[in-house]
Amino acid sequence: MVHPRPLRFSFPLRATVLAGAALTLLVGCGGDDGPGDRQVSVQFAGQVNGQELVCGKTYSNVGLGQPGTYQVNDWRFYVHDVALVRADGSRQTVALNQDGAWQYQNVALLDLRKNCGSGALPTNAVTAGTVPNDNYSGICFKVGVPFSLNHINDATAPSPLNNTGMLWNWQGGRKFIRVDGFGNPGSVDGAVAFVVHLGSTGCPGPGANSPPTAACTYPNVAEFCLDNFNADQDRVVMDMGKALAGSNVALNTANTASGCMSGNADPECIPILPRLNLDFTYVAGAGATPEKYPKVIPPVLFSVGKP
Amino acid sequence: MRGNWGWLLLLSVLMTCCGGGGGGDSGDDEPEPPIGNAGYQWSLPSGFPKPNEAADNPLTAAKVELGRHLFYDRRMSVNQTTACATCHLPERAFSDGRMTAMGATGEAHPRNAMSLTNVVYNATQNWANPILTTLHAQGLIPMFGEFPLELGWSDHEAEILARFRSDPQYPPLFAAAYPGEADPVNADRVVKAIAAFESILISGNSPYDQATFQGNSNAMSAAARRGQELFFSERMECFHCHGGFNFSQSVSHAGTTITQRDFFNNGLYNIGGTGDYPLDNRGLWEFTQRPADMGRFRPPTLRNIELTAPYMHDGSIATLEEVIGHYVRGGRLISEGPFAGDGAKNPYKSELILRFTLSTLEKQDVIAFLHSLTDWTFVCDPRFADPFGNFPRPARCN
Repeated sequence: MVHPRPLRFSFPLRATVLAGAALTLLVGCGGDDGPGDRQVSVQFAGQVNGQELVCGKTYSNVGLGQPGTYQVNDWRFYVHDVALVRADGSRQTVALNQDGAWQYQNVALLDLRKNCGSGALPTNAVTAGTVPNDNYSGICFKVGVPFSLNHINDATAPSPLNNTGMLWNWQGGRKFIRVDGFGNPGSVDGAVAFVVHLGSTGCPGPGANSPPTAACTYPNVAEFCLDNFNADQDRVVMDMGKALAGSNVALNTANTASGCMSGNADPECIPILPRLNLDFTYVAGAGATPEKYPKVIPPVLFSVGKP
Repeated sequence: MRGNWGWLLLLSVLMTCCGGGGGGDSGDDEPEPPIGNAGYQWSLPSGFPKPNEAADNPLTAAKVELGRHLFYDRRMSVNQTTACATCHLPERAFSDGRMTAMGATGEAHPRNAMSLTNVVYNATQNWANPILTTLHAQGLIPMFGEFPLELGWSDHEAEILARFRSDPQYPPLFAAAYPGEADPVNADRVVKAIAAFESILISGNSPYDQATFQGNSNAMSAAARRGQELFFSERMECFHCHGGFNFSQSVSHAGTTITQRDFFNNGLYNIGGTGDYPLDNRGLWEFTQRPADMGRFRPPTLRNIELTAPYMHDGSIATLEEVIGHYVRGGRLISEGPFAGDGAKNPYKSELILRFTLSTLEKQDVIAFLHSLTDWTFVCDPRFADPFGNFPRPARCN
């Protein structure tokens, strides 16, 4: 990760952030179904260019390069602040079930791997919780882990925040999205590793193994809202083909991270982060003028999958 | 811990909120040491999670003590030449310094003897066994394995057990470890006691830990700190496989409810460009025969790595300098001989292992960081020492 020009916030702002985070978390601590509550399970699915995610399957026409073949072997991401939306636009936070594994407070880990690795991997394609009985027609959620939980010690963090495969380090926090894969599978020149790891960058602090001392310059937490979503039958579809639409998945700039790991000096991130609904600042090196790449509107990464 | 009050406050709010976790007192007090299923009082380094305890092998101090005796006892092998400690020497952080291990009768093992540092936190045991999740199940392999023969218990079980029955020192140790049992001197009780001893071999007081968890920022040298930043950089990518408190992605403890049995191919071989590894060391593939599992091994902890040379599953890299050279190149080139091939181009290599550049000074810094993971209080801990005095303590401990 690159940590350009760390920003230092004064204490009052930080206190506000903490208080706000604590409030959010308290709200997320529901649990018992009240008389007017019901359980809701939001189903997630992974796709590449409209085709279901299966590890080891070769997808084609991914990105701009030729032949655009691409395989996946890991697909996990965190969401938080999942809310259903009423017709009048008001939001109802889903009080996530505290299952001791995939969900903690207002955060859930989705693990969509299928035929990845060996044996039966523990996977999870739902966020489940309670909402008041009402009519809902949309959904909103944020991808990532809130700052207040993102930088806690992995050794003592509750599941799913202690998932080692999703760790960066104490300072950088968790990988919000981890989609490992490669372009040109099976080619004579060799496949090119191309992974997408999203997380916070520019987190100020003394080093990799202590929490940041202030908010990260680039939190890289994006919110997604989908209309016409019926949680009882629809799926939230995450299509990496959309995220990689501007990339050549068979090309990685030498001496940069494989694919895009959110680094502000990694040119492979320029076409990717804006497609994750994030503004991206690219800084080629010391003294280079930062270049701004605004998020793609409307967001493309998630869509509603109808049965 | 300076500057962390906000975190502590927030954590205490969280704990109140969902009634989670005891012992999370705010303030500077050390939390109470966790207690095991049968009352064992764990002694854990600062910042470490409570280890898992096998349901069918609850820990007790008496069992640990019996296990410590058996671990260092050469009568554990068929010909009374070899103890567990022979391949797991305390002065080498419980590894043996050999390229590959040797059994009691001189038979060569295809793999390098692993360090026992923090084995209780491994999601799986051995280099690439996806189903071996308890230490007592693992212990049966060196005891009874015949190909290669390690301790040689097969067909000699009664003979070996009789040695412990007839030695006046052992019956009281067995009786204390397994109270109320008529005949506790059997292979199951032996291996469970050894597993109990192994599970307390916990290392977490290296200069890195002192700097990270104990507020002693001077414990690490400036070079080690620079190396730490490189280790956790997206240039080197070390931390993807060797991340977290135990410097391994394959971790399991009381707080992990999602299993994480990870294995990776790091580009050591690519025989004839096929992706193959040598016949006797194919890693996870030996269990699954899935092409993608060729050459996949569990990433071991890097704690005490300075003491556990040579490196890799087959001990084929002699020094840490060469290990870093291997990763700088993104895999190993073997230009001639039966294993010729460019490991950097192994089709099953982890996508996180890529060629990168590293200056000589940076390389030294990374090595300084790795050396900061060496924990001499662990190596010298009298709780882990040989009760018979056959395996002398390193001079540095005295």
